[in-house]
Amino acid sequence: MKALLYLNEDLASSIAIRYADYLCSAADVQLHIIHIEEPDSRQQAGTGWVRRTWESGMQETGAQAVKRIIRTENVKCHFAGPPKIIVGDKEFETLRELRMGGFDLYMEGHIDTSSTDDFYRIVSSKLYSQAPCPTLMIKNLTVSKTAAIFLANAVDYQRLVTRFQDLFHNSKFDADIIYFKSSEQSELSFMDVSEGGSILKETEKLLKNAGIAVNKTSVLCGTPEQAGDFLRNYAFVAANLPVRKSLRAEVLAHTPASVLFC
Amino acid sequence: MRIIAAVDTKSYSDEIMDYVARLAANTWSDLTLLGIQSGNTKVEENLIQAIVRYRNTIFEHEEDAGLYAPVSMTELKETAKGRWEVSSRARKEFSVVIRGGDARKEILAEVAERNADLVILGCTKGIDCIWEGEAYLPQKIARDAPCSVLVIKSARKPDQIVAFLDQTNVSQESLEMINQMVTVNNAGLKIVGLKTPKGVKGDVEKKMVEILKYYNEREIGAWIKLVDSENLEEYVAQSTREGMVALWMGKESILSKIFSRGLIEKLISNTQSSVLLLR
Amino acid sequence: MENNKISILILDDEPIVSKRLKPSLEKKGYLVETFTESEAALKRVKEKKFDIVITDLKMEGLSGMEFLTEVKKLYPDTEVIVITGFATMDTAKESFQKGIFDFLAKPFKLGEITAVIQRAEEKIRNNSQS
Repeated sequence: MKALLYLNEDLASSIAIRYADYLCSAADVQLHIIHIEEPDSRQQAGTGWVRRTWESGMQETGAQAVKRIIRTENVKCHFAGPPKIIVGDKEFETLRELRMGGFDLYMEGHIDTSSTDDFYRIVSSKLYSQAPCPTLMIKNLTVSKTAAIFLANAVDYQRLVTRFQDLFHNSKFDADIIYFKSSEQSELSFMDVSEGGSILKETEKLLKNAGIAVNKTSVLCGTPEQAGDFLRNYAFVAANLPVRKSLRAEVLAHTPASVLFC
Repeated sequence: MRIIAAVDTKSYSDEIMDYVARLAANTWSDLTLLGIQSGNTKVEENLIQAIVRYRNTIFEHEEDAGLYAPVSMTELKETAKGRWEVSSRARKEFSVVIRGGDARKEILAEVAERNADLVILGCTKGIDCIWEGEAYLPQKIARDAPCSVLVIKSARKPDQIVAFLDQTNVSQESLEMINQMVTVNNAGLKIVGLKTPKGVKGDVEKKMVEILKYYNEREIGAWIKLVDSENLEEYVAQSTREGMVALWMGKESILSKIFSRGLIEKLISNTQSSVLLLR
Repeated sequence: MENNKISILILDDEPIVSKRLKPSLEKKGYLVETFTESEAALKRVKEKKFDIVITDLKMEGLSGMEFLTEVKKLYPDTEVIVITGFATMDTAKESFQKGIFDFLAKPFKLGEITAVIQRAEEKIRNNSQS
């Protein structure tokens, strides 16, 4: 898969590059790096050579920052070409790069917060809602090679599985299917798989047909916080991108695991 | 590692013994069972009986590894006024010490004498945490001991250790103590940082990521999370239901300012599981 | 032993451990070399016999268990002390089966490891006299 990783000189990126390194060890990833230098409004330079000189100065600053983070993190994976450093609006330039470059996956780091507002702000951004490929929100590092396929009522499981298998059918990742049912109770509980309905069987069938091993299928019953915490051990949680506020989206906001939006 | 398990004759001391035994056996620690009684003229029979039970639990857990040599209570010797001791050494030292007098003073004195790395004690499940008839004793030990302290209110094995970090004063010893707790419980580690309206202190965030990488490189499940300081009390309450709560205690800690009264006291009072104070 | 001085190799991937131990042990008259990478330590062990080897278990590349196995294979009378931040009953048992002198879980106080080193030294000196 052709993946684009956004890097900045911050701690979220230091987690993201390590995570990407881990992903490269478990899947066939052609890893590209992008960094956008966003000038603030006061920094907008004039036109002609003045602007070009100013832009190349900003690009150089960005290139140095990316170089430093790659050197500090000392990752083993190979990059498909030098990092791309662009001056401009982050969302606009990243989306353009994703479209022009024919990327299969976009990745970026976000330090996990308990705030659902932060989460909704990110997933409703132009970058996430208009990305032409799945996006991976990297919140933490992982030592797992199992992904959670996260389902709930009215989830487009066919789209989810198709996009997941496109990315990971030839990888070392296997999958658990997790169906979430919301309930206010003191502890998370597991229900009979029949409670998830036919979507569970269908998902399992689609994954198996794609050659992806399914370890187990579970129906979780609890609060979004409990379910989110339960998902923490997975390499990532694959889910549909939430388009509105919901309890299912809150699970994804609360989980410390990284989330793959398909 | 040197562990002191402070015990009395009550059921909560019985209940922590499996945990103490498992931790001591897995870490091959020098272990002291410190029995506390009120009188200091002679060893009380009911305390002896309880300690014999605890000793047997310890020996059951060491799986014939030759870790400790047996000790007999008949060999207890008075080493100072109101202090009795019997020790043995196989691969590691096992001691029974009985002290009579004020529980807080006696526990802290033994911690200093042994140069212990960890004190473990249980207590009643209520808010006042009664120990040997005295309310709030575990809180006082946790506050005053120079080493890490583990207060166990529920012997349930935690599947997660939630460690709160709000300053960078993290000693190597405290990291190592967390390592052992993660290993012995086969638990995950959640490192929680505090987000104030001004954001997170950059050096704290950096420390969190450092700790995350440290564990990831050792293939141990660890996660970082930022929590709004205004939601902290609620988050701590939720965490104590999930697993063991750990706190890095440092002079610069703002946690103590966020809680309306004594942080340690409140945390131990409200917890439903275990609290580990790291120093 | 060089000039009747005990030589010690310390291997721990966390530099702070060696930083804490080295000056204190040198003050007590030991000859100390420290390493943070097991491959480099193994290379050194192949060049030189140490009386005492102190090693961590969990390290990248060659693990502490593999390292101590190599040490005992090369020099059965070298006393090995294992220090680990991730102790389990199984790793302790396995270490002792391989003939280590002692097993210490971190954290430990300087006095605790010094006492273990002194006991190992006594054993080495007694063996060399007999």
